[in-house]
Amino acid sequence: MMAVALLKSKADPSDADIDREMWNICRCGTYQRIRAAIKDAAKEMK
Amino acid sequence: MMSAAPSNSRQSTTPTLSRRHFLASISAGSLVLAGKLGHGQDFFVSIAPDGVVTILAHRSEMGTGIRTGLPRVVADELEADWNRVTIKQAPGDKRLGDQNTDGSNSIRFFFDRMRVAGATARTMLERAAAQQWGVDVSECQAEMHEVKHSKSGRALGFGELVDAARKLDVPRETELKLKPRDKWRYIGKDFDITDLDDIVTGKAIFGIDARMPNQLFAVIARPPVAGGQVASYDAEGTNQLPGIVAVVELEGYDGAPNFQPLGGVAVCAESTWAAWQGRDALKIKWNDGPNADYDTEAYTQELLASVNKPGHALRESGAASDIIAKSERVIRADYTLPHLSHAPMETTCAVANVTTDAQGNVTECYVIAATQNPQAVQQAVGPAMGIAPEDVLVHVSLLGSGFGRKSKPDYCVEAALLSRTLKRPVHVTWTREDDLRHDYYHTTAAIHAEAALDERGYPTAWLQRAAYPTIGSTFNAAADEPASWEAEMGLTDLPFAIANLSLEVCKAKAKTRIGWLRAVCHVPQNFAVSSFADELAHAAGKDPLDYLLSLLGKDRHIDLKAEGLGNRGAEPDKYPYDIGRLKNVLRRAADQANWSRHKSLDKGHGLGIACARSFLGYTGHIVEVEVSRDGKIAIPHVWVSIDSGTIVSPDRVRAQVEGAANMAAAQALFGKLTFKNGRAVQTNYDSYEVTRMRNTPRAVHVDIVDSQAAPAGVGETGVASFAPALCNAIFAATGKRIRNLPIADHDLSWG
Repeated sequence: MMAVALLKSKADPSDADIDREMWNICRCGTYQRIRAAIKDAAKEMK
Repeated sequence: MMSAAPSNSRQSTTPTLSRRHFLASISAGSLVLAGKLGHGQDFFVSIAPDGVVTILAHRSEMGTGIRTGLPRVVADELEADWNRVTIKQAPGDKRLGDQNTDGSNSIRFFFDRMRVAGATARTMLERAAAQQWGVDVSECQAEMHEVKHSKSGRALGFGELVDAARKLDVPRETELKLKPRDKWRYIGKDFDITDLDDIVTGKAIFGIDARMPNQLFAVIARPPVAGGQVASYDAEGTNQLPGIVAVVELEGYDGAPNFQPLGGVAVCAESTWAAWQGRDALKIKWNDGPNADYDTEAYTQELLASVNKPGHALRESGAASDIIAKSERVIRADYTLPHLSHAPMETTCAVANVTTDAQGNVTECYVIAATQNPQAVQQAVGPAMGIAPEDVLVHVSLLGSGFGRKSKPDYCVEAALLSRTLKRPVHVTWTREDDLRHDYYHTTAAIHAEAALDERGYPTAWLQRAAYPTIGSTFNAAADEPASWEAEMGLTDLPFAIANLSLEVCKAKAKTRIGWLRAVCHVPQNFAVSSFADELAHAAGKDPLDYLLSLLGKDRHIDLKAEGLGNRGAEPDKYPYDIGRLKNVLRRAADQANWSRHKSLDKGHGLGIACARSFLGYTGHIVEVEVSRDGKIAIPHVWVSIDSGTIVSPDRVRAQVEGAANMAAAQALFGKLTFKNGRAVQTNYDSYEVTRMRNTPRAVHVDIVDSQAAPAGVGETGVASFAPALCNAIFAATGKRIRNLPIADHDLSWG
């Protein structure tokens, strides 16, 4: 949901945008995959 | 079919299902090996006349993919079409073997057994087909859900063979032909976990979502000091609030905590919110008991004093102390690490329904829990209910992570006790504050290291002492020093080729509940040993990688038996301590990180290195850090090489190793659970910090060694060498040596 909101406000988010907007906690440690998924989604939405 | 499938639907689960029904339901109309084999794998696989293969998942799913991974091994040997396989979560049942999803053991314990289960069913289908066609069984081969006779081109589907196959004798294990590695269809290939869609769409049931009809919600005010008791309480304010059904006092424990509830005052209500409000309105006076003076700041000083005196040597060779005493060049260092909390995203939670007869005797006891160990739930709840453990029916929900916390079923006993009292199903919910206040904490440690260096800078003698409250204290109140199996995680299993060694443990009395957390004693011990090796390398003026490789010495197997070392219960032949493999992962990680550039990096930019053998697997870590002049740290890259032998799921291994880097980063950077007046000081994520997107490693590059060795651990293996590699990188970047975790306690500014 956070990622959707981010992509709605910014179609091509930078790493800094992702750092700032995706502030929730992931205890399994998938941050790197979340970042990659947001970038993939941004590409596909173009 | 099972009538209760909490992991697959949001419907209420029926509490009347008996354990016997469960096993009977698998057998219905199918080829089932049940009752024929008698050595366990009977329950793992069944094939229905419509060809649907049902495979039991008996380990708990908490994100590792095991609920899919082990059934994939069965399906591979069976030559089943994965699209026609259904996975069912098994309840707690000791006939299935070990169900404690802990210790990075699942694949290691069950890889061979799952292959045998699949091959047994395949062999029976092949024999049934041969019989039907009147040909020799050697001419019949199972392939993708059919048995084929290549000579005649005939084929029969698995479903069509069920009726004949079920009448056959079950083959002995020696009659089975396991598939050769190059014919593996699923093992070693990536796959989507079976729960993926349900998890992504919010349909999956975790313990916190589990519901029984008419259930109550309970929260418990537990003694703020472990081992404390309720002195008196006043529930008048609570009872006036809406939705409150009952306030129930729970007894605390005497002696060792074990898996007993902590006691306290439970507020049971029609909703979690009402229960929370009710708990806030309680007025409770506590007897804090003997741990009321627990103060971790003072305790750390006690641990340091303990390790600066001779301890109890668990591994000794040569005359380390004498050589150090006479040596001209001795390096000494003390390392300390605070308590950590598991802090799983989903807190501990369980729902229980206990029914009783007119005399109050328990007639049925059904628990749905986010548990890593349903058999431990049976063993803890059974005696508390006055029934046999096997009469406790335990369903395992999905777990929103566990990290070892959910192997300890105190919270399930709470739910059962309350349900028995209130004669309704009761869901016990732990808040985040409950979770951090009442954990089975990861131990707090002090480790002292000394080495005598020769003229070239290499150690002639190495002495290390560790003091930390032992996990044994949770089960035996008198246990007051690290056990040998704990020391074997990074202290006594020292891989270095040094003639004079003294590896000792020292006294440390537990003042809270101590439990195992992912990577367990490797966390403090590998931090100390890999930090110290790096300190020696710098003292000797050598390249840390070259120095570490020299310390490891020539490729060889450490003779565990001769050194008096355990091997996590694994056979040394199948799981040798192989220095060659340890050096290999170290070199591979270094190659991928382009290690040699470390010498030319600017100040504030550094690479750190460490390696470990843990849970029978091998890791090498290179961590890259950037530390700004004002002391802010970033981790742009982590390179990990892991050799855990045969791999079932490469992507799940990568995910575990990535997750381990994130978790180990959180622990090293911020992880600190302190006590004051016996009470946990950090009670939520605002003070017990973990990494977020902005401060976690930006990229984690995982390299999996292609190996045919026996499958070793993975889940915990990725943790051990991360933190020391990170701190070694900080030293390389800033010249500041972190000997006391967490890193956040230190000023890293420079220049």
